[in-house]
Amino acid sequence: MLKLPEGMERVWLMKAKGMREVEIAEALGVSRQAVNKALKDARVKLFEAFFGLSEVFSWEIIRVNAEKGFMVARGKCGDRNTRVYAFYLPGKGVKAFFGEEFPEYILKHAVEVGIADEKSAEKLVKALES
Amino acid sequence: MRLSRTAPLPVRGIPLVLFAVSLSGITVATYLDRIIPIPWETAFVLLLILSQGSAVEVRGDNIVLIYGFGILKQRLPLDSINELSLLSRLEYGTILRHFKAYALTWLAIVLWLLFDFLALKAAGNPIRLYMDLFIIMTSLLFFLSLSVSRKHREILKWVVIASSIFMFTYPYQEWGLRALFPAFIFVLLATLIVRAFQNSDFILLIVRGNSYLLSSEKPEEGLKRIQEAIRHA
Repeated sequence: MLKLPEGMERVWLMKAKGMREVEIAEALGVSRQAVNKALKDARVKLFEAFFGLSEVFSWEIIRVNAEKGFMVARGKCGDRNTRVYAFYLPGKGVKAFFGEEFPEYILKHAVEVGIADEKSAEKLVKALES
Repeated sequence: MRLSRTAPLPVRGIPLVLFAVSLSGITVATYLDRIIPIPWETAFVLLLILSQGSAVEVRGDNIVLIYGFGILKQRLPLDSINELSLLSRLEYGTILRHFKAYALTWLAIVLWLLFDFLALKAAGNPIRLYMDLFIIMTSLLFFLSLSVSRKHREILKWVVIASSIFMFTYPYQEWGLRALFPAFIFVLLATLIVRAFQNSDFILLIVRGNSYLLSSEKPEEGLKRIQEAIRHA
């Protein structure tokens, strides 16, 4: 399972939480160019992770957002076609869910990185699907 | 590498300015002609052609959006893409949410032509008056197509039915039976245009916080090509 290198993940998470590149650079004591490079590499790695996952399970990609680290896809669960939602979780890698029910930690993560405003599965699906 | 049957829409930058100016220009050409008699309509049609997207290519580490048969280009660095999505397949995805200026151009056309139709009576030109009705209906349907999500698409069907009834009854009341045949052609044409637009798939690209829209008849293939390009960037 893909995990971003620790330093890169820290930069990506700070950006996902809404910090500007200059603020991240100041907070970590590195140059803005280094932050920019880390973010570019993180985006490419996250795209690669989501594309790879959808290829392995033959899911049809509908949306991939590398800035907030999530994917919306269509896949088969048993005999029926259903929505698949995948998230990149810092320190854990990518986790995918069929349908519209999410565990508490996903709702918490979605609020933390600004995917949704509230810890509600309905609000999260609406944010992912719009 | 060219993406097959995929073209960008004029939703931002110079293409959007050209699109908005030319589309509104066409509707005011009659009035401009009275002030300075030059072929305004031809000029605005040429501008409209220039604003239209013709192709999407992957060149090196960039996606190049080509407008006006290669005259205008927008380069999007592959490593700066934040999001890639099939906007038309998202349950609550609307074009209006990402491209307000593009969608509002259609609404502005509707409002201006309503004013022209009701207050100015199309400068006393009966053919233009009739054309106003047709463009109002088509532009309104376009605006609604841009603002209604996949989940609420049923609304559009009812708007098409309501506006078709209006397109038959109003001209019939004003000009009698002779207006029915052109009304039929206009309703058919407006419905076909909007249907073709609705059946297209839209690929949304967000690059450095700016959104770009591609219309595609082969969206899965288009998405795959962009995926491959990002992987090899």
